[in-house]
Amino acid sequence: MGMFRDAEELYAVQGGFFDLITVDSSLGPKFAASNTSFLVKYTDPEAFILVDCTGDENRVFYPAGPDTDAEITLTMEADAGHRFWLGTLNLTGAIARRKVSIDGSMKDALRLLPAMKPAFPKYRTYCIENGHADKT
Amino acid sequence: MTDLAKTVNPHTDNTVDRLLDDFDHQSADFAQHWAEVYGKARANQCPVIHSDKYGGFDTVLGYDDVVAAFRDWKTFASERLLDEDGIEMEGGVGIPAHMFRIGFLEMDPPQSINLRRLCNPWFNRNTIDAARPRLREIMHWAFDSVVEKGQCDVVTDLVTPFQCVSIMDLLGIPLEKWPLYKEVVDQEVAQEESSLEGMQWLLADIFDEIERQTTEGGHGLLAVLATSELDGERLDPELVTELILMFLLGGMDTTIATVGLAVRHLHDTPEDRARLQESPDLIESFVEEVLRFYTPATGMGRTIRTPTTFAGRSYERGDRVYLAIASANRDERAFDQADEFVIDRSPNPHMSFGTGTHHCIGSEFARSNTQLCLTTLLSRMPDFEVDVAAAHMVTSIPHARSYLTLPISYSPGRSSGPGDNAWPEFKTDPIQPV
Repeated sequence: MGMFRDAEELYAVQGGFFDLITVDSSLGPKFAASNTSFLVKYTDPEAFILVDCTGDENRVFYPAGPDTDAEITLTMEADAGHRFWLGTLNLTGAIARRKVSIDGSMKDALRLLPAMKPAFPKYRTYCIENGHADKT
Repeated sequence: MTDLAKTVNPHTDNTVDRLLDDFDHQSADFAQHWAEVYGKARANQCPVIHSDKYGGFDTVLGYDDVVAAFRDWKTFASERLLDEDGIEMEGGVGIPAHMFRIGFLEMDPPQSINLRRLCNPWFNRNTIDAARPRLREIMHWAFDSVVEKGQCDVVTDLVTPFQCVSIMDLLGIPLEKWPLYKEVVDQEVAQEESSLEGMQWLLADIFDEIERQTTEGGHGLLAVLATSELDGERLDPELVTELILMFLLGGMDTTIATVGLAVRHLHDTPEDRARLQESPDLIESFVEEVLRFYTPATGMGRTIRTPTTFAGRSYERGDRVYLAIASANRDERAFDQADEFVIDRSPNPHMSFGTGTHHCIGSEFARSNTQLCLTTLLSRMPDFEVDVAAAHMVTSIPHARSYLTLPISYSPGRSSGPGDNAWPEFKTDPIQPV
């Protein structure tokens, strides 16, 4: 079995984390500055989270529909998503092994990076503080 | 000085001042006015230009400072440093950071040196000299496909196929894939929206090739890396993928850019073209001067590893600096007539390949291929004329100041091959280390 028992647990951990960082006083404006939206399609377990940073305020939807419109779609195994936020995923290698794929424009994806990287240390802390220390 | 002042376009001058106040080396205006911007900053005795863009960075302008930073990898890191939580900080050689780490270009000693040692034999001068028959054959294959047409595109018909196939040959990637690889490189050079999709395909294809050659073997550098060991352990295929991607991308757009800039210079400067045709031995110094004067790859990022004072400013760990190669190469304190193109300049210690431990591993390959491209053009299409109105450069400079399209016309010549980009059946041996 992977890191997450089922979609419910994944939504609780990753969905809750997106809720937190998109309104964070330092990260929220960075997400807003990206002015883009992204849908994360998880496999094993199957789950869908939409993060929309194109409006007046950042919004997170889960469970989202598998065909929800977004400027960027990230498809990844749930474990790869977990390791991404822990900062331990080699993105080049994960793409080469087809464990992660990104659908959208390079420019949109690059706009998200300034918001995502500073969020890494917060994910570890978030997991520990929310009863998921076993996952760190 | 008075005459110069009279000829300065006030609009340009305002643009230069605005770029100095709100510096962005990736903006379209900067791509148009980089020489004036850097020149004015140096004239004002500014050692650096600060920018708040991309998380904040300083651009280092002077030749001596750029050289000193390149040579001090302990202070000026190429690798992506970790913060106190062990999380990777914004870093590497791109400002803004590249989405993917770029092999040992974004590592530091000892790791970078250990990996370079595995690759050096494939790029040294003896190897490149021995490879000339092979490289000439690949070059003529590219020319044969268009020489009878009387018109072609220097970038997409000549130098990109040549550079793409010659690098794939050195790496040992099956050459029949070259149109697919070229398509991704074209997208990447042009920074097309579709480049992300192409890049993912390329990474996966390289990974599959590494797995295949690990068991079946191969004739190029890829097979060597796939089966090499460091400290008793075989290289991780993910790392080998990264290294191959570094060679493919790092080796292509810079040489493509250099050839395009050189061809445009020859079109615009008939006296240099005539001198080169009369004295073919000038090709070496001509290419070096193209590299200095036009500086295809305009700069490299670094991250401060340990607090330091440099170029009159104090820096903390994690601060980002951009070493402006394009400015160093025009520094009047390092080069006489720095803003003049001097075809036989000697010596010419330009920084276009960097210096120190990260000196470009492919510099001899790039020099040789650029010279070969230009000498072949001058001999097989000697009366070429650039269609200036149809020539287009990149609108900003994410990687290299490159022409995207550079159409030329010429008197049709005779093809010695099957033409029409037909599958290359080369007779010479693949590139091998000497």
